[in-house]
Amino acid sequence: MSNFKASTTSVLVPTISCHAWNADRSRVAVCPNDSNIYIYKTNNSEDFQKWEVEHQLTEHDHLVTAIDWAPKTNRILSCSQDRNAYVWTYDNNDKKWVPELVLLRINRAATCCKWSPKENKFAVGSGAKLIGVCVYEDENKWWVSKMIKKPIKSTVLSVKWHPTDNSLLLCGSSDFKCRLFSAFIKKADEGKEVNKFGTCIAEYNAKGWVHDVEFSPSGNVVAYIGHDSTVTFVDRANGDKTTVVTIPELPLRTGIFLSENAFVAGGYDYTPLAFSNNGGEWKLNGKCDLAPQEKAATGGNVRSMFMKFQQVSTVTATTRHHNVINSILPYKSSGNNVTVFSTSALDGKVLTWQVSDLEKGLEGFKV
Amino acid sequence: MATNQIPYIDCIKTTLEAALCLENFPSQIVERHNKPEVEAGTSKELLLNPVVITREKYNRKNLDGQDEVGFERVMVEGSINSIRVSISFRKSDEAEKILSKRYMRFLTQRAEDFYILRRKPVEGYDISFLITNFHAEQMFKDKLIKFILDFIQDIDKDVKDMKIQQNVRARLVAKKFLGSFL
Repeated sequence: MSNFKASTTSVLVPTISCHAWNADRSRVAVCPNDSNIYIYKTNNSEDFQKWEVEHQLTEHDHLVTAIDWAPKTNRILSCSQDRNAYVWTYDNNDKKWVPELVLLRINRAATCCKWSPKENKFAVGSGAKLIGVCVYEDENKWWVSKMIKKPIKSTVLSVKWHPTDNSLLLCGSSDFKCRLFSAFIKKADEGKEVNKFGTCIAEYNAKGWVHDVEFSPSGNVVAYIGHDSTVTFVDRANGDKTTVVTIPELPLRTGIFLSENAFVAGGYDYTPLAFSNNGGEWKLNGKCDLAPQEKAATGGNVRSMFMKFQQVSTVTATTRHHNVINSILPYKSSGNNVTVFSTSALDGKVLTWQVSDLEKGLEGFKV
Repeated sequence: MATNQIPYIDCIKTTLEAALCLENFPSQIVERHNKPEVEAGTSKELLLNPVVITREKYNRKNLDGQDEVGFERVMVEGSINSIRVSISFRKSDEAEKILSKRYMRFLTQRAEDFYILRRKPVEGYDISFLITNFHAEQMFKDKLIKFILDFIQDIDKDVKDMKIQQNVRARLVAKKFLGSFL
């Protein structure tokens, strides 16, 4: 079975589990599906073959599950299955990244992490069925965490902050639920405490493990991706108007909003799918791997049917990625709209996708 | 591929494609462990309903001459980070039963060479495979599926061939042995 091993031609690393960009997209942090994090210098290129390794962050001792790069403060947050999270700051004198341990106090793997919009606190989801919200303690010079435990009943698979409200936290977990929590901490948030820390403000049901959750740029629409091949959009500004979009493909893993009315998600079908909202109805527009124009079959229909019959392979080689897509991030934006987004997959590639091409190629898709 | 087998194989293929959507999932029960949830079975919400695909029901006589019912079937048990595929082959008589049992024993003793082969089959089945997210990360998914489908078809063929060989040999031995009495 040795020839079953996936090929390693023209990839960045053999497999990638997650990636994160810095503010000006001159650096990218990639986890090669082990306990290390590589920081690449992109040399102003979207082509990963031109990237160079600049730093290697080797503090974790289990698989790194998530990386998040804070754009304003230029700090990297990473968490791992070894139950730890680190905040990495760049030391300009020594020219290296310095880790700072976070007192997470969790006894299972850390599965996902995210900086809040103000970057003065962050959330870490965990296999201990809780979320740790961490703030910096100046007196002791470390990050301390405050737990959200109830009513999460299984591993937290993703956490996302409200794009503008520093105290709203969305989480998806493997107990088939997507929940919205208040993560108000006096130290980090100004204003009045509307909901006490840890209050579950809303709970949305799914019919499978919730792999990913997302806020739209305004924070009005919540999208969550279930393992039952659905994306559910909840319009919070519109009385929780819910649209469940079922896709005729394998389940999705991760997604982002390109604008208030457009969404892309990728997963087990190796290609990102584009969704859009036309007049209040979310629907699937198609695959981002735009199919080349079908040539007229030579030799008649019978032959092409026979060829189809002969085909044993389950995967068509037309997709740019050849394995599961596990993270999607905005690469370039104009205003609130994403114009280029990047995907990383288990096949070891980081690819970028032009939104303008998708608008041309997919009928009815508009950002 | 025998034509009458196509729907059975197709059904298994589609089921495996859907079941092989795995991710790296650390244990939420044991600290710093990563276990195949389908084997551990400690968190109910992480398991999928098992799917049993049966090709046909068949009757055979056991050693005491009584009728027995057998099912040629495949069971796919899914979970968030691993799947278990168990296969029960068609064994239309006692000879096939013994042949298939010896053959499976031969294979399971060499389980490391097959990466995904489980050392012990699930009860009621002849052979089991355990595919974790680590296998799915290293190998092409379509090739993994093709391996299992080919395996199902090849074993059927091998057992039938062995049975013919065994009959030929038995005939030869009987001829030689009983020939001396003629």
